[in-house]
Amino acid sequence: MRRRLSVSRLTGNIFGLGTLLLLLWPLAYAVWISFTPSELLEPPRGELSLRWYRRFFNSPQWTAGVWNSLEVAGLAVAGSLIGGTGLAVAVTRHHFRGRRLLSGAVMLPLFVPSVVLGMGLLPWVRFLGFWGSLWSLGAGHALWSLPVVFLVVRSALEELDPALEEAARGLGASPFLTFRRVTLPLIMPAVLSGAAMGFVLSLNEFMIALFLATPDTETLPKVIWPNLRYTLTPLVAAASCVTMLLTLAGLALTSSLLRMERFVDRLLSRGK
Amino acid sequence: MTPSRFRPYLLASPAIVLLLGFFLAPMLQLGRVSLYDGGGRSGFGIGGGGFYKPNTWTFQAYRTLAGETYFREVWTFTVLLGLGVACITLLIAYPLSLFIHRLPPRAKALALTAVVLPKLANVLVLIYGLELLLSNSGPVNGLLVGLGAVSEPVAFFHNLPGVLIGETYLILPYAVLALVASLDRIDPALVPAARGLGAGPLRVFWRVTLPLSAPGIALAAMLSLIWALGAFTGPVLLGSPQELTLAVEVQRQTFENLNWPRGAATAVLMLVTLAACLVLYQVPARFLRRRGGAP
Repeated sequence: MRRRLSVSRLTGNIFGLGTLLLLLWPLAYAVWISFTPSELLEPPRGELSLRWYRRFFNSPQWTAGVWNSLEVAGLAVAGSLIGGTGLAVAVTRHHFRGRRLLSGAVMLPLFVPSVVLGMGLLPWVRFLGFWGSLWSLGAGHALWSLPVVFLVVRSALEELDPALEEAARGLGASPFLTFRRVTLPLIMPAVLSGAAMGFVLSLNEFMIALFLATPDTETLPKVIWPNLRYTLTPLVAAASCVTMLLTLAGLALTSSLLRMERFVDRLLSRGK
Repeated sequence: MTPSRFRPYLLASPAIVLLLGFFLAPMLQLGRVSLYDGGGRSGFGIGGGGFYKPNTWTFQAYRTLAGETYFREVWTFTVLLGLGVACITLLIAYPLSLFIHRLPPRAKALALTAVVLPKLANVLVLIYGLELLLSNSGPVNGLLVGLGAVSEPVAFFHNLPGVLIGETYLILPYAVLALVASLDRIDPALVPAARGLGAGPLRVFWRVTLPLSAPGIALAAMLSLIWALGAFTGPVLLGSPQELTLAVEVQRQTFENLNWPRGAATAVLMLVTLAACLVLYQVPARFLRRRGGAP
């Protein structure tokens, strides 16, 4: 009995570890192959080379893709932060008509396949006349990050001790001042992690970009796409690594902001 | 200052603008475009004339789709692929989640990071990694040939197995997250209690862990199905022309055939299919939830 148990445990563990490694393997392999000196898709034998990265950064199409991606992600994060935080405050701190409807409606974009949304946005954005602007892409991406920010900030607001805000109001602070000096600092970690998720979502989003991007507003995934379909060179691996680096940089930035805030907090409390 | 009656609306207004302007309006526009006449390679797309005839109202696009065996085949394939991918995903995700759930806290955090990490990377990067991995000269085929399991490299993409592998790979993290969350919610005292009362490990799993994680299974299945029905990247990059899904068809009609009404009508039918699946899905989901709620 005991032996059979340990055997089944063991197979479970092997399966689990194996699957985890398999999940990570494609990523690791793409990173590895991006350093190949060869013209072909083969892992580097012996020395590593940065030639594909040099090709990447020397090509105006690819670097423009990087900047477009960053701009679109910035717009999407800004939009979803303002929209998501505002809605979360409204829903948790006020009773108003349409409150439940709004909290449900904000989740809907997550349930619509991105290809359907892209197909709807294309004629609509052309109708509005800002097809081919980075704003249209930013707004499309903000739709995905809006529910994410909303959920994260709402749960932070719900866990907040209401006595803190009441105390600030009781001491004579206006609602805005209360929000700025009491609520916002307390929910800052949630806001920042929402921003990080929005950034990552937008940076890697591909379907909306496929429908809305024009040659002038191609984001990095949109530039990768034809290369992946028609010409497989190690350049795509290098481009993949650049997107991953941008993603990690975004995450590192938000977490360092969080740490800095805690640091300032400690300084302030020590000063008192 | 604004009167407090309007303050919640003011706070919610950016979100409302975003939802109305970039979600509701495009969805309505999608319906409108599907009711236009015209489009298509031979007609209006070429020469910058437009992708549909303005100011027309017709069910032409829907009528064409309804009468076509081609579209019926694409539709059937999409639904079957969605169901298949959802099943395979669950079969892999459940044991994996159980494994992660039982890990000590630090290892568990590490394992969850490993699960989420691919989702932080680009879909295209992942598919690319899979292509490298599964190609004829890649390590998987190298291993298979080296072990003598097969005499020549197995073609893993530009066929159905490629699509299944790709889509399962893309969807797995969501399912694992949902399942681990639901397994973690189970009272940790229940398993030792059942063991103490004399139940064997299999019986504990069958009578305690599995039923209590049923709501998580239901959620994971729903998420997987939603994502699998919208499959695009897997079929295009890892499939062949035989593995056409509705999402691919929408994109092709819009950008290759330049027939926007048909593309839009396909997208509308895709939404209808999704909604129908979610409604039908309530039947097994309710059963699972009830099992989960039972003591």
